Amino acid sequence: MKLSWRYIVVLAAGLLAASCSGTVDAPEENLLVPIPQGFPRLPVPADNQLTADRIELGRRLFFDRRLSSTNEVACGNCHLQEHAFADPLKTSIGVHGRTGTRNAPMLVNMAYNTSFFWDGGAPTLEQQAIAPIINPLEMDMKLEDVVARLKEDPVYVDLFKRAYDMEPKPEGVTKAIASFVRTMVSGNSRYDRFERGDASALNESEIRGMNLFFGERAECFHCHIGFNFTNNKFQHNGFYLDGEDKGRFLVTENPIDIGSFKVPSLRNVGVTAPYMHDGSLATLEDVIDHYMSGGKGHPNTDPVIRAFELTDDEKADLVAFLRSLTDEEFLRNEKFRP
Amino acid sequence: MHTVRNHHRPVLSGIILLLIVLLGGCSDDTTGPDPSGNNPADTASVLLTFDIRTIAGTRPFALDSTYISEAGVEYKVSKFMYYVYGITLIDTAGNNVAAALVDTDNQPLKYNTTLVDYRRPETLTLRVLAPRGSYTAVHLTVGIPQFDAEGNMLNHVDASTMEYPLNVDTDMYWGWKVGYVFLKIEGTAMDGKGEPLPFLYHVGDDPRLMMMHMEMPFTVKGDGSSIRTLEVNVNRLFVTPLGGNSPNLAGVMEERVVHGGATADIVSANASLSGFMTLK
Repeated sequence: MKLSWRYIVVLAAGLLAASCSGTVDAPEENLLVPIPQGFPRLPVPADNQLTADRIELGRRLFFDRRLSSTNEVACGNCHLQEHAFADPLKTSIGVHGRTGTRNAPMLVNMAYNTSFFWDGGAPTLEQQAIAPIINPLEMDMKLEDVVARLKEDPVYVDLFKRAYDMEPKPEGVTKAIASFVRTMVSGNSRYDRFERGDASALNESEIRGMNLFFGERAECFHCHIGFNFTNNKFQHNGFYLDGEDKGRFLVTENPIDIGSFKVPSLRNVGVTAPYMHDGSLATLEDVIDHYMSGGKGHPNTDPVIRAFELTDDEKADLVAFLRSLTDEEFLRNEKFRP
Repeated sequence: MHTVRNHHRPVLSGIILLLIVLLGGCSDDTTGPDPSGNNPADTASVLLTFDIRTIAGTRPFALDSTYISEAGVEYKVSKFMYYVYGITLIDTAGNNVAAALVDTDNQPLKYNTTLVDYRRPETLTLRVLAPRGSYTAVHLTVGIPQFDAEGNMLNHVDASTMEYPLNVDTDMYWGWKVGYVFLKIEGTAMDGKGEPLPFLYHVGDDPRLMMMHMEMPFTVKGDGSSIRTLEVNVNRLFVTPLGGNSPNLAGVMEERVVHGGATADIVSANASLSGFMTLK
């Protein structure tokens, strides 16, 4: 068999790129989104395949304040790249200074999530994108009004045409935002480099913390498991005792779900404070204290939540390990900027 | 011989044509209109109009007017909306006959669904196309089913891809748990001290589809002029199938501000089984 010189060059370039960046041989969409080694193929819906135009349209929309009724609030107001697209505020501020009811989650590896929001109320990224726009506490906008504004902007008219072969429409808005968010893949932390064989990537404290994380005393790994440090389930972590926000119950109306919330990924958790669904824990140390306490005693508390002890040094090790999950490259990636 | 046959061909053709016309006429005579109004040979659909006449107890209903519930609570309604999906007529033989919802040009409505909104009087008339004939009952759904008759997802579909009335901006879409509000009624009720208490009932989620089965003999005439009255009694939303008064419009917050749960179950059951909708 005779290989063309072009094929050989492409193959060599691919192998070189993979060896340098930690990405794996990728299917077509992964040419747009480098997939970290050890990550599965990027799930992309058949009716919203990734293209460069769709991602670019989504990026513009994500940072465009015209999506809010007051022209003040964009998705990017509350999802800040330096915080792995989480919000350092306990609850985010929407139009007219209104505050939300839950802590804005980070946007990392969302393509791999099987549901969205703290209670899993949205099954797809496309459907998730609707809620902040129409929520009176966030952007307080009708989609038809968003579209009317976009139609007045020739840049958007052109981008919608190229991306979805349509004039600005609600469907294109949500699909494009979902496409952009889908590209926010993070998997190049020091922990990842350690796992790929770079023994110097973690220091001794972080390694001790890693052993606690994956050990049977702290048992963090029971829920924060796999390449994305989440089992994608809804569990009662002992934090909810009473109150209006009953979590997953609001979606399922099953009493057993009262107080259960989505198990979040812990990637970049060192920069996503504050913590828990209501943002009421300010530091990782506070979070560990909560788990060491065994929870507040709600009957729905998951059996894996039970009191345990750590020395101050062990706590520091565990926090150090959690901070090693930060992907500095992701936080600086220019593709995710306005 | 050959010449003779050719000579007679126009005559034969004329006889055959005459026979066809006569037979056609005989056929009409033999099948004729069914005295009951049902005509098996005539499946063409004609217009049937349902005028929604809304009352609260015995009084005509309007937004922002004051009424007394059957529990004796004074209340006003500021917003009242509900989806109507998939009207079916039951003919005298007991068959279900689909009656497609249509617009004022008799074109099928998207998703076979309409949104009744009391702020928009033009939505208080339902138009369907149905075969002329005699019927005994009407069946309709208040709400949006999980799937339409063709198996397409409806209630939990990506609403940003949908057109009116299932688009996002109708004020009947739940972004936080992806689905449509089937019925929404909001207003204020007076408590025992004469203080106004806000109430809102947003009823949705698949198990709370409200099935209306309304029996009443009626005929759909062939000229499309048939009009029936669909009477909606707002008070019956707060009367249980066993005749109790629930939910209490002036009750505790959990009974007045409802997006789901047991109280939404009660309102759904009331709508389906307590005479919320009747055919006149």
